[in-house]
Amino acid sequence: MLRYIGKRLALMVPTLLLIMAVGFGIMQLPATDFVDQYVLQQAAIGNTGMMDQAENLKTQFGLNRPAPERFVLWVGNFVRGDFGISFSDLRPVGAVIMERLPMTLAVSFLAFIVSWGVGIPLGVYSATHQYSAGDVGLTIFAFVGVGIPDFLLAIVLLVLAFSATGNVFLGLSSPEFVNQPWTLAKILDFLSYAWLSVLAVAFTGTALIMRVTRNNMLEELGKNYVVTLRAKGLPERVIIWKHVFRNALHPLVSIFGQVLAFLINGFAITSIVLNLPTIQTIYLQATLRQDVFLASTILVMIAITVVVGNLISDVLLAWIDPRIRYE
Amino acid sequence: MTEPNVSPLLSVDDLVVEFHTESGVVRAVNGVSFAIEKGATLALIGESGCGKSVTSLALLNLVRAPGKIASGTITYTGDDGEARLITDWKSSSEQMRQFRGAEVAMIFQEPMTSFDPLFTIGEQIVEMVLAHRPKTSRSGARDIAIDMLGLVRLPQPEVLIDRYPHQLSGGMRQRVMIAMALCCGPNLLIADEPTTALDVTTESQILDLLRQLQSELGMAMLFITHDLAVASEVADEIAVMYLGYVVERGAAADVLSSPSHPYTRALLDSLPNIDTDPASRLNAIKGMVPTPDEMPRGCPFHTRCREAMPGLCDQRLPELYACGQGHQARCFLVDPQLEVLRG
Ligand SMILES: Nc1ncnc2c1ncn2[C@@H]1O[C@H](COP(=O)(O)OP(=O)(O)OP(=O)(O)O)[C@@H](O)[C@H]1O
Ligand code: SF4
Ligand SMILES: [Mg+2]
Repeated sequence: MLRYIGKRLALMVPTLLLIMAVGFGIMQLPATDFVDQYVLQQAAIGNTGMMDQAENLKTQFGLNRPAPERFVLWVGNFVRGDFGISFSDLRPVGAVIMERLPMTLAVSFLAFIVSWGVGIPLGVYSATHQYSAGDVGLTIFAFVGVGIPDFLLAIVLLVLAFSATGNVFLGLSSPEFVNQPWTLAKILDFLSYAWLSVLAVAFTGTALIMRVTRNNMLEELGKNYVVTLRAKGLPERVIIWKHVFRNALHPLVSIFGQVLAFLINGFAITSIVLNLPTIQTIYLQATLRQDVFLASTILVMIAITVVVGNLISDVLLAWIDPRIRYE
Repeated sequence: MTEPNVSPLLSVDDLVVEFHTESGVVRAVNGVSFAIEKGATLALIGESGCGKSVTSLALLNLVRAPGKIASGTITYTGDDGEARLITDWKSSSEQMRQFRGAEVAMIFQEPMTSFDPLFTIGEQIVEMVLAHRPKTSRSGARDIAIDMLGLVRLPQPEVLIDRYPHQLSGGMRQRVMIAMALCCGPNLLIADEPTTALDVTTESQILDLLRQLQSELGMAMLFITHDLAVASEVADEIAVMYLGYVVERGAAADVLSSPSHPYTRALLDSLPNIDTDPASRLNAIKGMVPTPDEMPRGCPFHTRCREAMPGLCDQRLPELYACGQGHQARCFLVDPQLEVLRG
């Protein structure tokens, strides 16, 4: 098992390099670069003086060197923990990301906890009470939840919350708390904003987890071994949770592999719609503005979470299922 | 055995099991009655879909929605001599749970899919012991499991106990199944086609084992099979089912030597026999089995019966008529009033 994990970890290195190259390469495809865009933008608002500084800026940012050279330089610095600077706010990429990581993780982690913590028990209940009023109600909820995109729900909640309280819950904190250290007051303020996005994202998430759980529980409940378990005289609680649920975990574990990536890059559209100070929003901006180092670093982060997440789910599957373990 | 006991171990009276499907109510078991004496073996025989498995599941109150026991009674008289009316118990009740596995245990056709693939066979036996004897320690239960694996003649039980189901052969899995079923000392073992999925050699080994265990442990057996040859090897009594009805029942020797229902005769004719030419066997029973949802009017077998009497068999349902000592058949041909009926 350990050897297998080691092998998979080693395989991650070329995978990530490839992703870095592709990501970096795509950013170079447009004819313009960050400085061209910036200068044009400034000119559009009447600041033509920037035109003369364009070459200067390019040299400063290293943009006039050939792309392959810049890539090698970036990768070399990357492995040493220097991710480059963000052209748009001239700070190190690491600092820009770290500033947004806590908020991002806080929202996505809350959404994750709610989706799984509520979705799994509801799915099991639904499957063990098939066709009951509760099951029918939950199934309708799941259809609605999976059908309505979370950003749409976020907008609806935003409007409802506005008409109820008169507050606009955009962003994740009141202006007075921006850039303040984390205190209890700031956490409470954060929660007073975060509930909206968490609710919207968790609604879809819960519906999805519930539906997957229900479907798999039902499939497992129809299998022969369940008859054996009942004929053995085991208590129903043991049959459901020890045996059927464990067998129904497969697809949930596969989804679990995507959770890490979700934590830093889930609900991107909701983030943008609600103008949340999360990684998703700067990722989009950085890509549009060709803020190469920032965008590529976030891309690599996402890639790492995807690859590590898949490894974790494979290890979990082997841990649960002896047929995989002894392949 | 020591003292004559009037009441049989298990008696089933007029059992009806119905499935409520979208296309209507399907009667999978239609007024079935039989009794199993302590230590004896009853073989339940019939073609696929005639209701054997549903009957056996009903004995443990394990018929699941959309099916349910619609009427009839199942009475169990255990070691304490007290008659217990199982049909009065709710399927989810605690007494029903304690009954399952401890008094009446069950083994199945597919030894592969009948185990939970995620747990060792040891764990699956241990949890059953603990479910019925909560005072036993885990290690005590494990010792019982090892003993049981030895009892079913598996080599190296202390190694085998930590194996997963997928690591065993089909025959071994069925032995483990038997070991598990017997771990709480049931008085009745229901074996639902336990050898159908096995090859011929393994089949006869498992049958031998079941017979030996039965005489060692003195338990009764309800042996379900579609194979008359297998039934003739194990059964004291035979009940033949067709479309949810018991169409003939009696002592195994009587039913096999003087079959009284045309269906039983057809089944016997279809048995491999050195004298018959294999090609002719195939036409032994003409036509297809109707499904229970298209239950024929009158005698359930009349659509395929060579001896069907038009105007009678397709109009009225025959009762079970006596045709010998403890031997009955559901056919107008053995009705003493036949001449009157024919008019
Ligand atoms: N879940 C169900 N829904 C509807 N009808 C069912 C259901 N389960 C069983 N039946 C009906 O009960 C009938 C008897 O099924 P059963 O499994 O008892 O047959 P069997 O004699 O055991 O056959 P086999 O030899 O194939 O095991 C079936 O033909 C079917 O019509
Ligand atoms: S009652 Fe009639 S149809 Fe039915 S088995 Fe007897 S002879 Fe055949
Ligand atoms: Mg069956």
